[in-house]
Amino acid sequence: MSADKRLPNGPYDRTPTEPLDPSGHAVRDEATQLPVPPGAGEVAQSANRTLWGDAWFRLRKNKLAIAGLIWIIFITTAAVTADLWVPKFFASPTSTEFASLEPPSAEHPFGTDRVGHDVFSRVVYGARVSLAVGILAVGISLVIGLILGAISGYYGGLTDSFVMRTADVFFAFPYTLFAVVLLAVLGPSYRNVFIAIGILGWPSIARVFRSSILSVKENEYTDAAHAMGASDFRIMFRHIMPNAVAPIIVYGTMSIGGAIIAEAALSFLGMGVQPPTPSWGLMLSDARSLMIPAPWLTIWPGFAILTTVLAFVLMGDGLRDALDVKLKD
Amino acid sequence: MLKYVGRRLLQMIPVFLGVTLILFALRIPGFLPGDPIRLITGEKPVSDALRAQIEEEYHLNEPIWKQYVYYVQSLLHGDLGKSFQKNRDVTDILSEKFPNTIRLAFAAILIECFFGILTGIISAVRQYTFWDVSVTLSTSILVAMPVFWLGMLMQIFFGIKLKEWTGGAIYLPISGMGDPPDIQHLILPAITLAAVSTAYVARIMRSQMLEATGQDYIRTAEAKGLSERKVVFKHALKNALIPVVTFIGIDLGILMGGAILTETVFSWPGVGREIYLAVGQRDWPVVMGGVIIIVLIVMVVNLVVDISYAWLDPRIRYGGAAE
Amino acid sequence: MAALLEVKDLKTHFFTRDGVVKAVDGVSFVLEEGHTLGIVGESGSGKSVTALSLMRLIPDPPGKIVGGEILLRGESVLEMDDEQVRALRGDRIAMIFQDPMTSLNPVFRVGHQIAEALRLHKNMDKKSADARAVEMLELVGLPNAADRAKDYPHQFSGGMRQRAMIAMALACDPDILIADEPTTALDVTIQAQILELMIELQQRTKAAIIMITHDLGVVADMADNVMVMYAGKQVEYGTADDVFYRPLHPYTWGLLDSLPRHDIDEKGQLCPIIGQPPSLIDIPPGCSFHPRCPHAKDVCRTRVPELVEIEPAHLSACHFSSDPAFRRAPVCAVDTEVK
Repeated sequence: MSADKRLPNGPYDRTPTEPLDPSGHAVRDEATQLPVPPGAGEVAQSANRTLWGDAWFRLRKNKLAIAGLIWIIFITTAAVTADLWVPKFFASPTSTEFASLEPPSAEHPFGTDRVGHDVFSRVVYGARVSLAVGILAVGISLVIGLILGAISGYYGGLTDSFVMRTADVFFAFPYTLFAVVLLAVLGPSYRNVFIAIGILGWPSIARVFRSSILSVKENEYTDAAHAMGASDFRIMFRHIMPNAVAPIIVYGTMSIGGAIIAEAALSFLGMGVQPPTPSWGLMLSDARSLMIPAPWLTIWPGFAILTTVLAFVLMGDGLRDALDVKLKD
Repeated sequence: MLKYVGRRLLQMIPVFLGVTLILFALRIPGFLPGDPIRLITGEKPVSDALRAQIEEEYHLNEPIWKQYVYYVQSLLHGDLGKSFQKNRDVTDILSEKFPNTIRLAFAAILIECFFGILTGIISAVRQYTFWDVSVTLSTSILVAMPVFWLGMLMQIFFGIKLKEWTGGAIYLPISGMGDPPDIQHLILPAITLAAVSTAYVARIMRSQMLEATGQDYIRTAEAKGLSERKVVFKHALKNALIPVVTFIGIDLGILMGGAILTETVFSWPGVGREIYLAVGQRDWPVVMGGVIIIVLIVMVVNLVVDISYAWLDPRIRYGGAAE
Repeated sequence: MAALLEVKDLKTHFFTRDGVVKAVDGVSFVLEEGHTLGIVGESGSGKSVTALSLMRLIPDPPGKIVGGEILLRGESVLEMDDEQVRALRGDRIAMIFQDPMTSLNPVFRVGHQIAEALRLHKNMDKKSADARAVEMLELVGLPNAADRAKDYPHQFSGGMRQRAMIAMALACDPDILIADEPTTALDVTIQAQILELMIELQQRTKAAIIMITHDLGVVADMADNVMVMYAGKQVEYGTADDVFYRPLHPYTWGLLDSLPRHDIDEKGQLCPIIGQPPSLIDIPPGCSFHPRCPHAKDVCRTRVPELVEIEPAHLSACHFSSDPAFRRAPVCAVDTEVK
């Protein structure tokens, strides 16, 4: 190993292209003339001079993230418009007129299941359930989490302790276990799955949001801005929000992936979506006893889950890299 | 440092109470579907005397808060109640199933540690090479993969197809623990359970190593003339490992929760599966008891992890500056 | 007899996506035993990269020493193989860095980190290395050295940490100590202490010192010779006396003028040089300083000035230095009278 070829990412990898400004990105807030923290406004890095423009620019360069985005758009469109094309070209997901347990063929690309449903159409319709749960459940978590996180972070003190202790109680339960018990109590159903996953998701979001708020609150420049007479409102919007929003976007995207897996797991255990509604998890549960004669029943629904969640994870990763202003190219 | 431990212990108490509160609340008649008396006795006809006896035993006529107090009291005595379906103490049932889950979780942690840490380090030190890229890709895929699906695929491939292709010679068992329990039966479930966690560990290890090798003290170490091996495995690794160890500790909790899925898929006779079956049979004492025990273990493990983090990082262990 | 260190036309370039960064572009100097060389310049001038090149600590990729010679007691450093280079580092040439807080590994005890160098280069066993580490800590003026050796870096104050770094660097008795902005991150009062310590240690150990800094005041006390760098090139080189009292290059004038001096300015105005140092990918043609030089003429925009000996052992890279009429005049943004 060459003594010259030092470890990648060493401190001197930052090649001296620009004279290193000691404050990092020195950009100023027009009103207060104080340095605004990196990412909160303009970043003098590339041609695009706003945070969002710059982020989009960087996101576009990330091929994996774009692939994820394309897949998500594709599958969402396919699911939403399913009624238009699936029964016409394939079959209705609930029609049982076909022979059961047919292996994949031209007519049934994914085969048929025990009851005679066309698996392909069930997979497409199953996307509806998964995407709906993913987005709505995360939506619920976001609403609860953001409000509680904001209250907790901004007001501190006893309120903060109370909210955080409650979050700790939620964290003490292993996720799947808690979800199963919750659904056992609420009664397994499509609607209750939203609620359960939504409820279980708020603590993480609250924590992330709260810590963003705290780190910005404690930063010296907000004190300085205060000293200059900037109002609370201005501080919240101009300084705290931009920094706090980015991690939420990233976390939210990843959470949708997590919610989709959660729904699949719960339906697999029979605690979620009930038959005959097609759900990927439910389909896998049915496939268990038929693994030997009909492996295709296992492969395709699972594959659908994998690709969809992967798309969200890649997008989330991409967003994180794009929004992370500390990363220089 | 002792103050830190004390504080954490104190914090645990309200959380534990919160947990018991939630579980108790779920038990309140009205919350749970079905007549509580019916739940206990099943379909058999219930005489008034029996009804009175059950009400007495389960304190069903007392005010709610008092029932809660009874509940916590019995918990503190280690009494988790009696199963509705089987005529046994919950503690009995659980202590039978627990070692199996522990065995599974332990195997999973070993796999996770070994493969996760190793691939993470290699990935960081050989950044952007084929190895690194393939590790990043495969960890991304594993993170997105549903655990139970992975289990089923394992079963199909290693249990069924492999058997077909080798005419029955080579295959791995796909169900149960074996009688008497053996390693063969442990392999597939352990790998399945460990898979996602291994991916996380590799990722965290990689990013921690990358961060560590970017630090100034690495430059100092190189300026002293140390070899790359020493610099990476001594100076960088010791710093990078601390958060990873923390994660692995916390992961134990995640494993215990995820076990319910793996155990179901592989028919592994552990606590997770027991709870799942009990849910199906509406055997609430078993469900509650199982959950409480798992939660307790997770909390204790998290506490130990927190403390060991404080102990491992000299900046926390020996506070503040001298002059 | 060959000088301790001879550097001839050193060129270190970084090959990045945005272009080639000529961080060091033709630097030459000589360092004798026990002498001190001060390398002065603004951020980005190439001072640190020069120092790192001496120890071959340039990350490759993206950096590469593309030309020149480095002779340590006549031996070519650039031609050494990996093992020899590692043997040299810490043993014959040692380096201390700007921020002692982050330059020490937080998870190892201070004594251990010092002993590490000793065990590596001097083949000492653990016990002797630890003992010697304590000796070194005493040498740099830390009280209760034996206890301090068992502490972790975060338990030290900034000044103590820098002393520990010095102890670590000098442990193997190197021929050359390179100090890259050693006092910049410290409080002003501590700065003076550290510099005094270095002077004292130099007298004891007879090590040569290369002191890199942007602060001329630091260099004034310590240096025998001074090299002024700008945009990767040397613009002036001479004895400390020459450079301070008879500076030849306009950039040097600017640096000297920008030092706040209470005795000169009754008006009390600061005198900074106009403009910013250039990006090293996009160096101005001709004399790289010409955009900021009030004396720039056409020739400065087109021809690169060579480093020429104007007076004995006093070199300058300006087209007009050889003209006796071209003498010190203000280079700053504000009108000031120079007495």
